[in-house]
Amino acid sequence: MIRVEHVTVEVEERKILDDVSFEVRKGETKVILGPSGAGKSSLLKIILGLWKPNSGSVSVHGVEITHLSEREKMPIRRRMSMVFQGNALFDSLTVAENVAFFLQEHSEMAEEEIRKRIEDCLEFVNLSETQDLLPEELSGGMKKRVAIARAISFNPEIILYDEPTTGLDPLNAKIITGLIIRLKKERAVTSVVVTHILRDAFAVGDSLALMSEGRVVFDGSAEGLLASTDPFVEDFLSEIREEADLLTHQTGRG
Amino acid sequence: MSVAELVKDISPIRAFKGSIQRLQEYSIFTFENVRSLSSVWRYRRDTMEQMYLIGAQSFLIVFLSGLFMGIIMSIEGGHRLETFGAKLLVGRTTSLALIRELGPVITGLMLAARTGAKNASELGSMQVSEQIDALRAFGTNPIEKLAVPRLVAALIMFLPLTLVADLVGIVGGMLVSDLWLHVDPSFYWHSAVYDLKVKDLVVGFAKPVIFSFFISTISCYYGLATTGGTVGVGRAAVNAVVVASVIVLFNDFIFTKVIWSIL
Repeated sequence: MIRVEHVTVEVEERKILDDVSFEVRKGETKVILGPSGAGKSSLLKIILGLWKPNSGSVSVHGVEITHLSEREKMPIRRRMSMVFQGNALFDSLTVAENVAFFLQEHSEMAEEEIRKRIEDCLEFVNLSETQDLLPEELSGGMKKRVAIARAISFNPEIILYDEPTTGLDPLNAKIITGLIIRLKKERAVTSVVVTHILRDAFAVGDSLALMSEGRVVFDGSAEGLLASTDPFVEDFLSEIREEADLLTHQTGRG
Repeated sequence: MSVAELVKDISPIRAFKGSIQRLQEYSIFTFENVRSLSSVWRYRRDTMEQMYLIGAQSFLIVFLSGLFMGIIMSIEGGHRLETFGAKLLVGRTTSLALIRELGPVITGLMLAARTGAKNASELGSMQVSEQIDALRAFGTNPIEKLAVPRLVAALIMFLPLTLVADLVGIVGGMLVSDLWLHVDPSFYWHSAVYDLKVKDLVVGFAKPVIFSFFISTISCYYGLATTGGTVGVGRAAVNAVVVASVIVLFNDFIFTKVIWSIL
């Protein structure tokens, strides 16, 4: 469904992505893990065609998008969606208008149908009462859920999530990961989730790719990642191991 | 940062290359705007909203600018002409100055400041908060959705606003001439309006169209090219206003020179 092959991106003589390759199959949730500055978010923008790589290719739905013009990419973009790290909600529009945005722009749906779709999407993220509020009136967790509601409004086949739980409290983070899992199970959405939070990565991912300084240092299953002897992988995983040890120590459970 | 790096950073060559690159980007952006003009019907609601924001909300500032320009022109011109015994020509000089030069230029500068800053800061804020990326991600062309409605609205609204500035200026000049120079208002009006030639009107009404094109495209370009967070938004707004204002004056010079050569 998504194929990234030997993608390299350079900005001002600095390599943001260096020979990155991986594949995401239909219905799969792929997690791109890595510390800040590893090039994870850039990768999502490459997949979406917002950025053009210096070399390599990206195929979505079997179409090579790297050399397409902005206009030629539009039909492909309309089959995928993205939840941005900062949510990127249109701040002059209400929650309902944000969710309806794509439908009003690109569909022939009647107003009544759009209204019904808005209700369904907001109900899915459990925010039915917020339709008339502006984004600035919402909490961080609510904004993220509205961003997800907007992303699913047109039933995309692919959703890209950029750090969906970063900056959220554990409760809200759990709600968001729950929504990502539900979207996969109930709507068979193919997802690419970029995060640096291991707990969330293991919760939602079918497969994981670990990035460091623009390169993929591991690509495989969660079990494979945990069993890896690569020094960088071990170093990265030490955080979650320390957390697990601490939790075990505090609760007294072995 | 070392001295060598600092020198490299501020070297004229680097600055020149940066300017050429921006000019190239602006040219492509402007071409895309023109190519996307047909999308204005699709985004007619956005265009109408922009027309309101540019037109109705700029009315007062243009009205006052035109009024004071007309008053100043009449006082200055009237007193100068009086020394030659030609104060009766005050209407003609005021209307000529306003319609050919001051009306379009003052309106252009006011709107470069007001509309230019508004466009650049709005689009710049959307850019740094990833709203522009979100638009593109949802398959919407930001030029069609955001820049073209602003361009068309400016093209439509600048002309009537300039007309307002011209008329208010002439009327203001008439009041001052009557009060302080004791020029009969009907004589003033006759010399101000009926002595105008088609050439004057062509010059006076073509300029706002050209100015509006540059003000809108320059400010939208700076907005959409914003980088560097909130500081970048401020920088984009300042650059948009400064560059648009200079371009208004430069275009005024070029247009005046060309018209004098042709007509």
